Formats: sequence, C-alpha cells, structure tokens
Amino acid sequence: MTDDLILHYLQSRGGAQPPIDLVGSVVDAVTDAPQQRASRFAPLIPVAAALGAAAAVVAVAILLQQPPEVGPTPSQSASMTSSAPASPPPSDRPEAIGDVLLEPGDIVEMPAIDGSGEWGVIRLERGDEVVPTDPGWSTYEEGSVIIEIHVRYTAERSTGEPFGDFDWGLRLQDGVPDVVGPDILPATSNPDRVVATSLGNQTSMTEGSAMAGWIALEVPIVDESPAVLLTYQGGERPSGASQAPTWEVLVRERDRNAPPTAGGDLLQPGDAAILPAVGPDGPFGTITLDRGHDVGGYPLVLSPSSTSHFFVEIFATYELNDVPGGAQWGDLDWRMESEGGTLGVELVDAFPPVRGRVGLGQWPGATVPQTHYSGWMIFAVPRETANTNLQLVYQPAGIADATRIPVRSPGEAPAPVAAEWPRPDPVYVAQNGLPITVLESSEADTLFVDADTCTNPDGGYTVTYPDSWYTNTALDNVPACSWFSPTYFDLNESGDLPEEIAIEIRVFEGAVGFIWADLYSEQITLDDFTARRFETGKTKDPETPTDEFQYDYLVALDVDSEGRKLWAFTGTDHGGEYELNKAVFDRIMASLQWTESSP
Amino acid sequence: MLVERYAAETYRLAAAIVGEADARDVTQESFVVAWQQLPRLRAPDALAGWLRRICVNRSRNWLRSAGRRGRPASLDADLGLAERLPDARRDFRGAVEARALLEPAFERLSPDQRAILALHYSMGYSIAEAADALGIRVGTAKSRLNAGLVVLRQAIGQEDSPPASEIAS
Repeated sequence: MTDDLILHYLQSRGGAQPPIDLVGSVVDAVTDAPQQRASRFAPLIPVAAALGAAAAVVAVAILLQQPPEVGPTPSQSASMTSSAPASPPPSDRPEAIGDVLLEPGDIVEMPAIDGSGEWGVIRLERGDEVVPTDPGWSTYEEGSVIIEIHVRYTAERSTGEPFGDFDWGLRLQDGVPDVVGPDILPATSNPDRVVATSLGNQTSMTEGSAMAGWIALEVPIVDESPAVLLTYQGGERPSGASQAPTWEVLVRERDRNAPPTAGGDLLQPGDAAILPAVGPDGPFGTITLDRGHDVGGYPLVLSPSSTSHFFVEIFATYELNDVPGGAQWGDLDWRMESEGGTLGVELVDAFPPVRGRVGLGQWPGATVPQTHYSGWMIFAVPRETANTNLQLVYQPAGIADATRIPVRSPGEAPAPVAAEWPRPDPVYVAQNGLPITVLESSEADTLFVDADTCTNPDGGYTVTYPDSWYTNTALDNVPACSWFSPTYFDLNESGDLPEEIAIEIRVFEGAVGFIWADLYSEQITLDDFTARRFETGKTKDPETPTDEFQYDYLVALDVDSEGRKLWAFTGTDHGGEYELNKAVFDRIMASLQWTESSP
Repeated sequence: MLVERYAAETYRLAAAIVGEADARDVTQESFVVAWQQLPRLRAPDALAGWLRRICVNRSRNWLRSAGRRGRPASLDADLGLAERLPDARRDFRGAVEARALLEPAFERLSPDQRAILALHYSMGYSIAEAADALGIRVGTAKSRLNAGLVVLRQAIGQEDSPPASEIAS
C-alpha cells in the first residue's frame, strides 16, 4: 500500500453525504434553542419583579447528632416546614435573588422551559444540609449528606408538558470517580426531616398558577469534596439527549484549604487561586484553579508511562461574564514550566483514560447557556524533574504577558502506578481447515476434538460446536441452534434466555447502526461476507467502572445496509467462563456454513 | 438561510473528524452554538470561518467526551465508506481492508490530529486555513499533520515513511 491509500481514506472521510433531513433537524434544534441573552448569567436569569411577598414560616430546630465528613458543617440550623403547593416561598428574609444556593435562604430564580421555550419562573431557595442519623438510610456506602431545596414554579403562560421533580439532577463538578450517581430524593423519604411536602410533578399548568415543594438532594461523601451543582433539565433539548444544555446552579462549594486568592500559589492539594480570564479583547471572566494531587500514574493511562512521568492535577473553573469573541480558550492556554523553561511537560487528555477527571477542553467561545466551565488539566511531568520548582503558566493566544503560578516545590515524585489498560492483546492463530483465525486456546481445541453440528433453518446456517456443550431446539420465537451452553439448560415457556447460555446467534434484517468497540475490532471475511468481530467493555466508562465485556461477530449478508445480518455474541453476563466462551465462539463462527436456501 | 447554506459543509467536516455516527449531533450543536453566539459575531463576513471553528471545537470536545461511548466500528459504515472511495479504485476488498487498518489508527489519533487531517486532507482546506480554524500557527499545523500521518503510515506498515510534504493533497 502507498500513501495514496491514506489520502483516499482521508478524502473519503470528507465525502459523507448529509442526511436528507439534516437541514430540517438543524433548524428544529436552532429554533428550540434560546438565543444568548445579554445577562451575565443567562441560565439563571433574575426576574425583575419579585413574585409575591415572602412569608414567615414555622421553624423547628432539630439537633443533628452526627456531623458530616465533608462539606460545610451542618449547624443546628432551623429546618423548614413544608409549604403547601402554591404557597409563598419559605424564606422570611428580604428578597435577595442571587446566583448560587450555598447558604440556607439563598434564592435563585430561573426560567421554566418547555419545548416551546420559557413558560414561567422557577424560584429556588436553599434549605439545610442534613446528615442522615440512621447510617443504613444512605444510598451510598460512604454515607451521604442531604441538601434541601425549595422549588416553586409560577406559570407566565400555560404549558402542556410535564414538569416537576424529574426536572432536577445533581452534578459533582469534578467528576469524582466511582460515584453511584447523585440522587434526588423525595423529601418525605428522609426520616430525619420535618419537611413533608415533596415537589412532585404535574403534566400541565395554566397561566398564573403555581406549584411548590421540596426536593432533597443526596450527595455522596467522597474522598475529595467537589463542588455540587443542581441541574435543571426541563423541556426538550435542541440536540436530543446528548450534550444537551443544562442549567446549573451551585449548591455547595468545593472544599479548599482557604478561599481562592489572586496571586496565591497551588503548592498543596486543596490550595486555590483566582485570576482573570483574558482574551485578545480583554478580560472576560475569572478562572479559579484548584490544586489536585500529584499522582504516580493512572491505571488506564499507558502513555506517558508512569515509570517516566508523574502527573500533576489542576482543576480549572471558568466563570464568564462576557463571551470571548471568536477566540479559542481553554486548556490550550496553559503550560507547565520550571524557572528555567519548559521541561517536556505535556498535557494529558484527561478523559476518558483518567476516571472521574473530565478534561477542561477547548472552546471557540461560550456554549450558551452556560457561563460556567470547568475541568481537569493533568500535566505529565518527567520524573527526572521532580526536584525542580514547577510553575503553571497561563498565556492565551495573543496575550504577551504570561501569568505564572507556583504549583510544585522540589520533592519526591509519587511512586509509579502500573497501567492496567488495555488488557493484553488477544492472540489469534490460524488453524488448518478454518477460514478465519481463532483465539489461541488449547482447552477450546480439545473441546472441538469431539464436535457436533446443528442447523438453524430460519437463519440458514449450520455450525459445529463441542459435543459436550448444549444447544436449543426450536422455540416459538427462537430458532433451533441459536443458543449454546457448556452446561445443560432448561427452556422456559416464555422464551427468555436461560442464564446458562454462553453464546447467542441471531439473524435479522435491518441496519445495525454503530457499535462501540473499544477493546478490539477486526474486519474479517466469513464465506465471502464482510464481517467484523469486536470486543467491547465498560472499563473505560468512568460512570460504570466495572469489568463487563462482550465479544461479538457481525456479518453483513446483504450489501444493503438495511439488509440481512447475522449477529452473534458472548459476554461476561452470560453463562460459562468468558475467555473460554470467546475461544469456543471463534471456532463455532469459523465453522459456519450457509445452507442452500440462504442467505 | 444560514443553516441551508452551511449545513452540508458543516456536516461533512464533523463527519470527517468524529465520524458519521455523531456528525448529525455535532452539526446540530454547532448551529445551536452559532445561533446563540450570533449576536456577538462582530464581523459577519467572517461567518464561514467562525462556523468552521465552532464545528471543529465541538468535534474535538465531542471526541474528548466520547470515551464513555467507546469508539465506533460500523459494518454499515464500512460498506458505505467503501462505496465512496474514488471510482478508479473499484477495489471493494482493498478499500475495506484499508479502512480496517486505517480506521482504528485514525480513531487512536488525538482530537487535534484528527481535526487537522480532516480539515486539510478530507475537506481540502489549505494548511493556513486549517491552522486558522484550529487557532494554531501554521508550523504547529504542519507538525500535527506530520504526526498524524506517521501514525497512519505505521498502521499500514510503511516502514520508510516519506515526509509529510511528499503526500500533500
């Protein structure tokens, strides 16, 4: 092959034909998207007029027996009683609408959104933080803290779309790893609180009416105490589920050694510094930097190797009060140097290899409606420079003066952490008589010394499988020779997959879309049909850090992408032993022959 | 209208960087961002380049956050892409084979390398235009191009890789 092939390949990537409905779908997305406002905090737009007078509420003090392990200490704060639906907000403080919900009584107002745009106003008021006194009550093994928020919807026009407690979610700003998932609890599920009226939800609301109630946000206690944001997801989003705009408001600040200061250093974990975000047109906001840890290595980061490098973590939070024109900004504005100049330090693409460390990324300007951007910058530092002073340097394009912040004093680097990812490459071997290579396995070879065959008349294939294994007879909705198991299994009347089944083969008609093969992927040919075998895993997913794997074959039996296909797979959630299943599976697929009437 | 005029090119650019599976989403996001930022665009005659830059950045950020979804491997795309290779080749098996080798290598490239290869080779922009879209210097663009090509050459087993300038499109 020559470079021509590379050029042809790259050119072909630019020849994608837009879907015929592309323009329409983009127009729909744009139409649904609110255009940015001049307001500083577009997502949390204060409404000029206050909505009704604040009413005094009965406060019942409760004694909290157990302090939280992280976050603000929950004082013996007044807990608020429930407010009936459509009742005035609970605070008796003077109206003070702000941008955050950090202290009890803090108020934020924001637009309520449905598929047609703004339909009303949401007023949020911060309640207390509570530690469950019953340790067994928490969703999380580590324990949790509950943050209470009073929510009031007021309709400025009628809406016919559901709204309520399901609009709300939590986000831990740093992307802390191994979190089950921040949860929203109905207030009444908290046995430690007097609050009784949960927010609930409704399917419609008429102009001028209101609905109010409490939500209780359960925040897991984690090693590091990140900032916590309440997120709002009302209404349809412009581009579907992914990357959808989220309205967020801060309900707890990150734990720090001290409040961030201008001119501060970042020499110790928990140190914080603040500096102006600048672009060619001048300042456009502030950047808060939080020092993470020095890390010896990450299990999923192979390069740079932890034997040659260690890693310095910095968490950056941009708060925008203006949009930086067309300039790019983000992690490209940062580097790490010694007093003597660069040291070969490089910025690691933090996500996905580093679990829980979503990267800061780069932006062409603000992505409305957010005015808040944050993410990790992880710098790989050569180990031989551990005894050097390190400085973080901020110098956006077009800015002559660099800002330098001390981030590390000379000292021993943390010990290397061996990378565990990816798993060793599979070893495929060619075997006489088999049209494709198969995973090396003497155990599988032995199993096939005594083999049997079966035929799926509907699918139109015959395969060979170990005689000691079992396959299915025809069921109402499952053709014969579709399931394979190393142990005997009973067929149930419902046709559900018995748990003993190790391998499944399905023949179907239709497009397969895209398959995410993050472990292994190989294009092969099976009896002149284009096929792909691939392995997927969830280990790379920071939100589901489990070791679940699936190994698949996908065969196109028709040149039409909508045409007939064979899909077969085994997985760690299937019966048998996964690695052996894979090797047996290869040999079964290698034996596959099409019957006369197929495909 | 803005969308009608630029949607196809934006889609192709997104597809070249992130792949067809995600190109529609990235295109939609790019236009939503553009729409929302439009009042702040100070030089309307710079619209095309501005939109291109938004698309490139949305694509790169998409790739950065795409780890949770893994990398795409699509049988449909294999077939579809092979059909789009230049007619003169008409070598389906060769094309599939090349794609099978090059696709995983391309997916291993950094978002920045993917973007510069897509802008220059897939979309045909000059290196200067591509550098402008990425907000980097021309020298940096050339460096990234070369690094990306080295990876692709290694994928197809070219041991004596020529310098990047020899395969300029």
